[in-house]
Amino acid sequence: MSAMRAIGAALAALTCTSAGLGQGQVELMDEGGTSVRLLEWTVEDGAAVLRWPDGTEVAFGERENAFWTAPFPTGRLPDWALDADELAVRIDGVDARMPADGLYATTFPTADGVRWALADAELSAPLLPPAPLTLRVPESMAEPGAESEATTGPSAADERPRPLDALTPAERLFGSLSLLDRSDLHASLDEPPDTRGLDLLEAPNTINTPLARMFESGPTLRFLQDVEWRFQTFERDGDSGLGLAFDYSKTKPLSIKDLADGRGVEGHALDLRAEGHLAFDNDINPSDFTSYSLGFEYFRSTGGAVPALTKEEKRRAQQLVQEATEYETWDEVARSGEWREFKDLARRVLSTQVYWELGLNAALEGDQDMTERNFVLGAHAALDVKAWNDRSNAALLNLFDYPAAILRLLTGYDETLLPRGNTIPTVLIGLDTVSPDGDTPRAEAGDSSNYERVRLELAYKAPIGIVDGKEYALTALYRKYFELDASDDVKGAGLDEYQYFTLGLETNDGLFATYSNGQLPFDDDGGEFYEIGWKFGF
Amino acid sequence: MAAWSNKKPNCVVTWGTLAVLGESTRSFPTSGDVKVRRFTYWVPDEDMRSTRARTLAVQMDNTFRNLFDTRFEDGVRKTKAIVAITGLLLEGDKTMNDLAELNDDLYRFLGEGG
Repeated sequence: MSAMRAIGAALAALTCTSAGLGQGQVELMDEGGTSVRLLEWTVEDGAAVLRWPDGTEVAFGERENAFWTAPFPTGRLPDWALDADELAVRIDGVDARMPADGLYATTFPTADGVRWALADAELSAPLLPPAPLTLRVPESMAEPGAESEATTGPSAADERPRPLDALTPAERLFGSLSLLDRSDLHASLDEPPDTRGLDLLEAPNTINTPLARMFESGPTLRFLQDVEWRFQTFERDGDSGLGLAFDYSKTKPLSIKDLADGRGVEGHALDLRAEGHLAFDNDINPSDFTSYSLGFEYFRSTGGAVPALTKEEKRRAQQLVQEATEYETWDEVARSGEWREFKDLARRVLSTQVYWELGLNAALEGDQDMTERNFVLGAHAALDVKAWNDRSNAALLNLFDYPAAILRLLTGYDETLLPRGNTIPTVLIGLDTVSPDGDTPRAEAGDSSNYERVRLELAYKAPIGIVDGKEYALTALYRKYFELDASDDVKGAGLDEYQYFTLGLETNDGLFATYSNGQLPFDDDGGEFYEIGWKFGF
Repeated sequence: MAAWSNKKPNCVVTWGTLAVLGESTRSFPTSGDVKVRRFTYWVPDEDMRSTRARTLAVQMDNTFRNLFDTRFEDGVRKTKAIVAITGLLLEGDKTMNDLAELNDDLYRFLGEGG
């Protein structure tokens, strides 16, 4: 067992040894694996009873010589129970629940017996102090008069675990969690220690949990949670460097209502956006453009679905999806009879959605240290058409998606060459008044006056395959800026028009590689460059 | 957070909707912790991401009520539902399970009763 795994095992720390049927000791370890306390346990009336030095007794239960513990490394043992979906614990009078599908049982052979532990698959539970596990207090477990989250409908209530004191000892121990099947337990005795999830290097929550707590601590830091960061290395014209890119988008719809003819919705919204590309050596920043903007939009959406199904057919649709949830892989889902029948129903409902917006925007844009900057006021229009029905003409005419469709066919992701209507690029066109400030390339060319420009943007993304369990997607972004009625100085310096194209490949775990070509308004010179990195968020 | 389970209509319908719309094509058991930034609408351009998020939020509402037998919860109107879904779709680290939980608050799905 590696050192890391040994630490992980210690973190699953409340483990038990069996010196024989009916009695034994529980060893409580700290995070360093040091034994801090031994508790005696005995079996009395079918339940294992732990005795604490102060005389407190906690009964768990017993199954032959197998002994189960809850995943709490320190402190007092909580009451706990398992049902089909959740582990419920009561700690200092607070009820907490956590998903049980991430839990597993593991064994640790030792010289004097077999240690058993129940742990969370990513070790997030053992790393957390007990109380913050509280995520949702079900009404059935809440104290009378205490606040609890609202739940809906009687059947939802039926699915909730019963109160701890309403469970039998056997239910309290084993519930109906299939993972805790007895045959699995005994099979694992003869196998190498099962340390799934105990390698800290493979447990991103080990790091993310404390980071998440830090960023939840205040509104300023919470803001950062909504930012997407991309740590990347890039190469441009033989120079390479490291950089950090960020982008942020927040929208606040102010009103939404149905159109008078009932065929869609319209509304108003405020948008706050930021993007930037920061290189540690800003002289070789390949995409030296940072922008902060505020927008106000009127938007309208029509189409997307028609009320074509009867109530019975809708029930059938949900039943088919329910049955399709049983498949373990997407390939199995896509090839299943249930999914095919569901898709046939969906095709009767789904149609082409046309969304458009008109907006006003104000922005500050500049290079990464803002020594060159533009103040921008403008108006824009955006169009987002989505042909949700994959057999529609609009989907088949999505020429942008044919390269990705070919890749999907080659990777086996799709069985036929099938462009997707939900990947039709989003288009934005804007007319801006720009007030340059600082040492901009235009000023260096002899023109620092205000000017009007048109900008055009296209954004595209499409899946292209699943290889070795990793999902790949193709992304593309095109931007073009051109100045209206540019002066001869600006035209002569070639600064009246910029365009910039990025083609990227990204995976579901955040890795990405991009190829870019072109020039942005604060670039002294354009060119092509490559980036590799990963995306992350707090 | 409540568990991601195919015994919950909100999880089943959320997954089915995103799958049939082509936003996420993973099997149900592996979908609960998929982050929304991996969905197809999430593009590397913040200008158009909010546009695409609104488009998808409206379409999810369309799909819930036209393909599945889903109604708004008492006290919930379309404005609230689309605003809430759009907001969540712009938080890249939210998961499909988070979205399903939000939908559970906004909609009454078949099988929930009531």
